[in-house]
Amino acid sequence: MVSPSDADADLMYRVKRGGPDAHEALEALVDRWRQPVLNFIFRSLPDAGEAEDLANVVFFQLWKTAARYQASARFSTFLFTIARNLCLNEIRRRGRHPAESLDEPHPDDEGHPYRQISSPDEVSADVQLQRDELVAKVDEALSQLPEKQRTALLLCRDTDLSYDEIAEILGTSVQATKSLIHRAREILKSRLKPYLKTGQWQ
Amino acid sequence: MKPKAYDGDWREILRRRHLSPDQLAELKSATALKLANAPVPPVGDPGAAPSASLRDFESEFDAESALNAALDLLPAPPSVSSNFNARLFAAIEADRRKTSAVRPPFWSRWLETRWHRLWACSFATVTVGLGLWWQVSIGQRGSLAQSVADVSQAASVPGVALLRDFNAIAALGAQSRVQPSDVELMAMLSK
Repeated sequence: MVSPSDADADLMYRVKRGGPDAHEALEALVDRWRQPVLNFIFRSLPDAGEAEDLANVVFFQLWKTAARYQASARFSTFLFTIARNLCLNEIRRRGRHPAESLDEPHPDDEGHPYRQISSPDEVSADVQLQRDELVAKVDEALSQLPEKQRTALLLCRDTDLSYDEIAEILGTSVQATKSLIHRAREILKSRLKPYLKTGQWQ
Repeated sequence: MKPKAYDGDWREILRRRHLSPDQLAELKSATALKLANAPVPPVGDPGAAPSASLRDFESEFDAESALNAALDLLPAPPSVSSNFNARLFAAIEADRRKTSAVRPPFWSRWLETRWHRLWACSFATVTVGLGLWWQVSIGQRGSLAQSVADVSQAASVPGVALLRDFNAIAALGAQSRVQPSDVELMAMLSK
């Protein structure tokens, strides 16, 4: 059960009740959580424009489902569960209707990198090329992970959610969640082994 | 962010915290020191010998840090655009308007309840029954009034005594019929 000090749950109850201050409460929640939600979606579907659209849909769904909100879990769990489900729907939709991505290399242009990374520091062309290649490989390895492993890894790495909360979002036990994260990291290490130098990328 | 102490599992720290190179080096040396000072494992377990365990730790630590460094190279998520909230609230407002525009009439929403539907069915049945009963009773009253009117008209008819010489009267009637020759005669006289 959530402690009374869970400010987000309080705000969510104000949204649920409706009335004049529901708008204000929703805005406070959006201000607090929009960046973490966008980060999570961007890592799951690396497309900045679509990630933001989907993040917007997450909060729209939050508003639509406010009437069903019960504080049986933390608010963050509720929010990230919506985000995860929408990401899954989007991944399934893309599977059914694959679209050509402008980020991916064209078959006629094999040497072109997946993604143009702007680097703040001046690096040589060779280093930049290697870095771009590693980024493309990491991206590829990450996208090839099973969905649960990827989500567990991203939630563990990019959010402040506890293992309990991640487990609840994934619908698994805490032990299974830790195992998913461990396996995801092992798979990434084995797939990226040729590209990883000890301790740092060179 | 400086870890306050490296007393937790170093894997856990590496997974959940973004460490600077200095912090990484500090964590590595602190954990290595802890492993070196750890009690000697039981004989017959060569895989867990201090030196081997230290070497394993170092290679594992390096691999984990390298993976973290590789993950850190991924492009940073974009910042939320300034019109994010405006777009969201516009979508909510549009949905609210759409929902109120297609809102079914009151009676339709009222009928969504099971008991209300049952009540409405009973009311309709009783109303139709009363209507039918009313129609039948009106018809019955009409036919009764008609029979009363017929009976009252029958009262002005001559009595039965008059019908005693019915045959004689009928014969008189037959004789008193106007002949065509009389008509012709009357026509001539009128000229």
